[in-house]
Amino acid sequence: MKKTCTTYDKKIISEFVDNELSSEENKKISEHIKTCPICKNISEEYIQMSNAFVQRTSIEVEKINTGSLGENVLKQIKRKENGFSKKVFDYFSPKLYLKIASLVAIMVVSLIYFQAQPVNIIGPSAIVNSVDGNASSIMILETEKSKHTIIWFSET
Amino acid sequence: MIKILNMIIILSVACWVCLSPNMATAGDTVKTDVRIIHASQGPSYIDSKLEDLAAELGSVFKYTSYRLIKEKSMSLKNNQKGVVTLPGKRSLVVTPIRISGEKIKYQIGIFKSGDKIFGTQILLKNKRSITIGGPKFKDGFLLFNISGNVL
Amino acid sequence: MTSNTDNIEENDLVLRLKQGQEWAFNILVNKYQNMLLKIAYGITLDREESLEIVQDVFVSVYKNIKTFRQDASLSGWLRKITINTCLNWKRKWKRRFRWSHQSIEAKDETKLLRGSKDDKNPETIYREKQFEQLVMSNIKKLPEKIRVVFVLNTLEGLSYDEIARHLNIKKGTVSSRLHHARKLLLESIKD
Repeated sequence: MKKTCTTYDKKIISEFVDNELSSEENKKISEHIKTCPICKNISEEYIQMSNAFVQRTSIEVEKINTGSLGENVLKQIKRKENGFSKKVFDYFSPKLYLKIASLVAIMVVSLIYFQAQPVNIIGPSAIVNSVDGNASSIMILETEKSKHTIIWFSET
Repeated sequence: MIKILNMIIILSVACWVCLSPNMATAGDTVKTDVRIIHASQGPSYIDSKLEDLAAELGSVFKYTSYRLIKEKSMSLKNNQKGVVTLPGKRSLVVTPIRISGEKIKYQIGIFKSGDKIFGTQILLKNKRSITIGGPKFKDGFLLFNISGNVL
Repeated sequence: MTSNTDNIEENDLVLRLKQGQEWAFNILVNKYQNMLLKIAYGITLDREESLEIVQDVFVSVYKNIKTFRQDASLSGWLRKITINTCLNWKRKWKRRFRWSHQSIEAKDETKLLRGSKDDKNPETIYREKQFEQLVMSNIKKLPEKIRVVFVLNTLEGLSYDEIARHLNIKKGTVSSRLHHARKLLLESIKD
C-alpha cells in the first residue's frame, strides 16, 4: 500500500482537520477522503491525537485541587498590598515603644539564628539539570515526606 | 532620640544581613560525604548509620536490607574532583563546580572499567543529599548517597 | 462566539474588578480557572506547576486589571497572560525537574470513567488509555513554540487567525507549526 497520497500532502489534511480551508477546498478534500484510504487514515489519526490530548488534559486538570485557589490568590494579593513600602512608611512614624520592641526582636532572632540553622527541607533536596551516559533508562523520583531526590538508572 | 534609635535598627539589620551565612556569596570549600549502600531483598537489616535515609528510601523501594559498605568524606574546593572507588571495577567521581551558601552544583559521574555509565549535573541544596542508584551488585543493587555541606 | 449578554456581563465584571470589588474577583476565578488550568497543563504537563501558574496569573490580573483596555475579550487577555507565565516559568527556581509516572491503573481515573455513557469493554478502555499516555509523553517532547500552538488549537479550539493574534505570529507559521506538531507526534507514536 502507498504511504503517501499523490494528490494532497499532510499539511493540507492538517488544515482540513482544523477547518481552515475555503468551502470549495473543503468540499474537494471531503470527497477525496472518501476514496483515498491514506488521507482518510491521516485525518483520523490527527483527530484521534487531538481527542486523546483533550481527554487526558481534562482528566489531569480534574485531579487538581482548586478548592482553595481563590482563597490563596486573595491571600497573595493582600500580602502584596500590605507590602514592603507601606511597612517601611508605618515603621518610621514616631512610635518609640515599637522601635525598641523591633530592636529587641532583631537581637533575639539573631541570637537564635546564629545558634543553629535548621535544614531547609521544603522543596526537593536536589534539582537535576542534566543526565548523560550509557544508561538504558533513567528515572527521577522524590520521596513524599522530606522531598529527598533519587535518580535511578539501569545499566545497559 | 528617635533618629538615633532608627539608625541603630538600620545598622542591626545591615549587620544581620551581612553576617547571615545564607547571604554569603560563592563559598570556597564544600564537605562532600559519599555513602555506598548495598540494597537488597535479603533478611531485614538497616545499618545504624543509614537510619536517617532508610526510612525515606523505604517509601520508594521495596528492599528489606540496607548495608553501608563504604563511606568517604571529602573537603572539595571548586572544580576539585573527589573519587570514590566502588565494587565491580566501578568508580564515582564527584566535582563541585559552583558553591554558594544555599546551593552546590555538582557534576557526578559513575564509571565502569573507565567507561562512563552514568553522568549527571545537579543543584544540591546545602546540607541536603541526593541518592543515585543502581548498578547490580551481588543479590541487590548499589546506591550512592551524596551530601554537601558548604564550609 | 460570545453573545451580547455575555459581553454585557463581561463588561460589568471588568468594571467591578477595576473598582477592586472582591466578590467580582471570586467570580472571575470561578469562571476562568478551569480554562486556564487546561492551558497551563497543556504547556507544562505538570499539575502542581499548572496550579501555581494559574494562581500567579490571577494575582497578576488583579494587579494589572486597570491596564486592560477591553479592545480584546477578557478570556483572550487571560489566555495571553497564562501562556506568557507558562513560558517564563522555566527560568524560576520553583520548577521541579520531576518525572511522574502515571499508572493507567490509578484508582482515581477509574472513578472518573465510572458512569460513562459509552459502553466500552475493558480492553478498549485500556487501549485508549495507553494511546492517551503515549500521546501525552510525546507531547512533552514537542518544542515549546510548537506545543503552545497545538495547545491553543486542540484545547482552546482557536482558529489559525486567533492563534496568530495571540502569539504575534503569521497565520502561515501557525499552520506550519501545527503540521509539524502532528508530524512529530505521529512519527514518535509509531516508533
